Amino acid sequence: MSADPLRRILLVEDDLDIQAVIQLSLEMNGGFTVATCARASQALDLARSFGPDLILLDVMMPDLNGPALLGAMRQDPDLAGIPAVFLTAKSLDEDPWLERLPGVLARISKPFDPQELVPALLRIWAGRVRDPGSPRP
Amino acid sequence: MDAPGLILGLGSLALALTLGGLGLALFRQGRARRGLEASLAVATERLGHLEEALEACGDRAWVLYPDQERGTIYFGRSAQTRPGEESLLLETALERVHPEDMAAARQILRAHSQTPDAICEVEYRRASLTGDGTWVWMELRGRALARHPDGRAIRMAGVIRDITRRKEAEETLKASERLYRTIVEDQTDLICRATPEGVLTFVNEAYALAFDRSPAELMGVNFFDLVPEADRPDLCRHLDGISLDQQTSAVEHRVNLPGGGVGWQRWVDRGIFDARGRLKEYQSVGRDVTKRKEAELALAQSEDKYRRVFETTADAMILMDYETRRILDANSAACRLYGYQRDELVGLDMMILSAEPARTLASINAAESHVPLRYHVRKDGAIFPVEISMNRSRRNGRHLGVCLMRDISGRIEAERGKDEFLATVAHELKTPLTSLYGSLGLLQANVEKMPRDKLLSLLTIAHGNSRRLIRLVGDILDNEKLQSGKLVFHRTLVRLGPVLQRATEEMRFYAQTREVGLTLDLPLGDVQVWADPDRVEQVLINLLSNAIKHAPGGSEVGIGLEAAAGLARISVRDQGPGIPAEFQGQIFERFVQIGISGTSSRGGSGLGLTIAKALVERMGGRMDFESQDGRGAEFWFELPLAGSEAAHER
Repeated sequence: MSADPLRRILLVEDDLDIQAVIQLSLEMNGGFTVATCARASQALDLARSFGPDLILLDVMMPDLNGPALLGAMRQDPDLAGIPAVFLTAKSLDEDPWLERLPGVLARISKPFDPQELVPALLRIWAGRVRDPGSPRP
Repeated sequence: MDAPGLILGLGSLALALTLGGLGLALFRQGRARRGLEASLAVATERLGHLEEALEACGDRAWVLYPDQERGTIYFGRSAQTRPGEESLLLETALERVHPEDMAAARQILRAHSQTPDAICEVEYRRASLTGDGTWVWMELRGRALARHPDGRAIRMAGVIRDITRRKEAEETLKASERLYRTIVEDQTDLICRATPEGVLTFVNEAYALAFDRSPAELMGVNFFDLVPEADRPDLCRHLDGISLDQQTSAVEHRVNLPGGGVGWQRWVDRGIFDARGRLKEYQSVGRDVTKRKEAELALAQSEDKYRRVFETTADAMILMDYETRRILDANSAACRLYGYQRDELVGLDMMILSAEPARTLASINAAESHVPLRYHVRKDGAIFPVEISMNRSRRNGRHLGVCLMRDISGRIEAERGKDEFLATVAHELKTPLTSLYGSLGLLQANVEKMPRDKLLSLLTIAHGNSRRLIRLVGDILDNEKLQSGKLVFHRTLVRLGPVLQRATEEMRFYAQTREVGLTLDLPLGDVQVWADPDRVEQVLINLLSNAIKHAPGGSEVGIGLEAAAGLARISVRDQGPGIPAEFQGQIFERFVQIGISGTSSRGGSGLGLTIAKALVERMGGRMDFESQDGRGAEFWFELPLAGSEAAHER
């Protein structure tokens, strides 16, 4: 269990409406600092400059899908330790492997109640098991 | 003795009697005695000869004088003759006649005494002379020898003979005939005799009954006339086949029944030949087989019907022996499905066709009547899914199975497509629903403390995504109707100019919000097509909204119309980023959307182009695009001009 509080969240979501709603929910209900981008290709740079505690990641995106972006981050020593939570419109039985990817804490299914998002993320954050081999302190 | 001989004999007898009386008178006178004696001797000798002749034949002579009701029968000197009874008076003789025959005998004799020149014949019984109480049959023949001027007979003469033996033989024959007739008449079988030409000479009651006529009415009828004309040649051939070597033969043919109906009869015909081997007549025994024949015909028809169904059904059908699993028959569809010739399939073990023999065997053993999915194998080794229905029946002690196989590759493919489509639709619906649910949820919880600009932005998101949902649902339904061919087109003569103007004006506001200009370039004169104007407008709006969506702010979207080579060509050109090469091959497929940064409530359903292309094709046209990555795109569609050949063909 980690005592590190969750403060900064990077949101990668290509649908601008969903992005806006989630951002507002995270800021208003959780007081988080949120950075957003709509393209996976921009996410790596933004992650490096923003330094998020957690990445909230859409699975289906036009240029590069969420799992592929996560794979790219795991190749980057600066980003490899950042945990991720997937946002997906697919049902659980369609992509059961999604949660078993390294560094993935959970999945949140669309559509969801925006008032429930922050409590859910906090639960996930509190319940995460630190990877013993993680380079992060 | 024939009639003239008899008359001659009786004439001589009369002469002799006359001469006898004359001789005695002369003797008294004593003159020419010698000559007379000589003559008498001759006459007596002749008389003796006659008596002998009559006796040799068993006949006796008689003389009758009808006027005097007096007559004599001369017996001669036979062993039966008692002394003193060489002759018998007619009255005495009549006393012995059988009472039943008396009246007939008297009447015939009386009648013939008045009928010139006819020989009378009477048969009668009389008591036996032996006195044992038995009766003897006699035959009396004779005629009038002298007549009065009015024709009445003065004297009649003739012979009489015993015919008891002949009568007895006749009686025996009659009895046997009666017996034969009883047997024949009691038969329910039809019996007839006919000449070689077919003329009926005898029919029994059953035969007559079959044709609803009396036996007498049928006598002389040619039996060919009772047979329908169409069946006569066959019947002729059958009868021609009857010969000395082949005396009987059976045949079944139709017969015309009273009342216009037609029945079936089965006949065994026997030819009767004379000593020289010539056909004398046919003797035939038959029976009505209409019911059996009708049942046979019904069976044949139902078999024929079954065979036609078997042969023409689109599903593969195989008839197999349930116990040996050998294929007994297969229809053309089965041959096509499995890639075998019929004679290759017949005799094969059913297991050869199964790609899962163990499961197939289990199904057969469990007598499953329906197997929804099983994999079968073609002759070339290709494996395909089938749905099987099996029906078992027992026929002639054999356990048969009729298997009906339906290739369900298409159905399984379609089901898979449907599943994928549903998953995609669900995903596409969840995207606007996420925005809608999210924005409304935030508003509800935070409306009091939320700054006005955020509040408005959330409302805009909710409204935009509601519209997106509506459009998506509409597109999904349109697409579904197009796929199943249920979309109705109201085709009429359409002037394209006004349709293009209307669509352009419709989209002008949306274009302005995107800071995109619309330029409509119409040719001089009407361009007319045979189409549904609303659908043409729908296609155009779809292309325009796509173009405006991808056009950069400040650019122009051009709408063009040309008519050439029997086709109207409508084009929509934008100056956007164009279609990336990797998307070009699938741009018209369902739910393929080009990812562009910043898509939001402007996002389409992913079905727009699929629907537009299908609509154009249903109206007899085609749609395509030209685009180079980074240099804009031009989508166009063509419709056959009204009055052109292409339009007529549609």
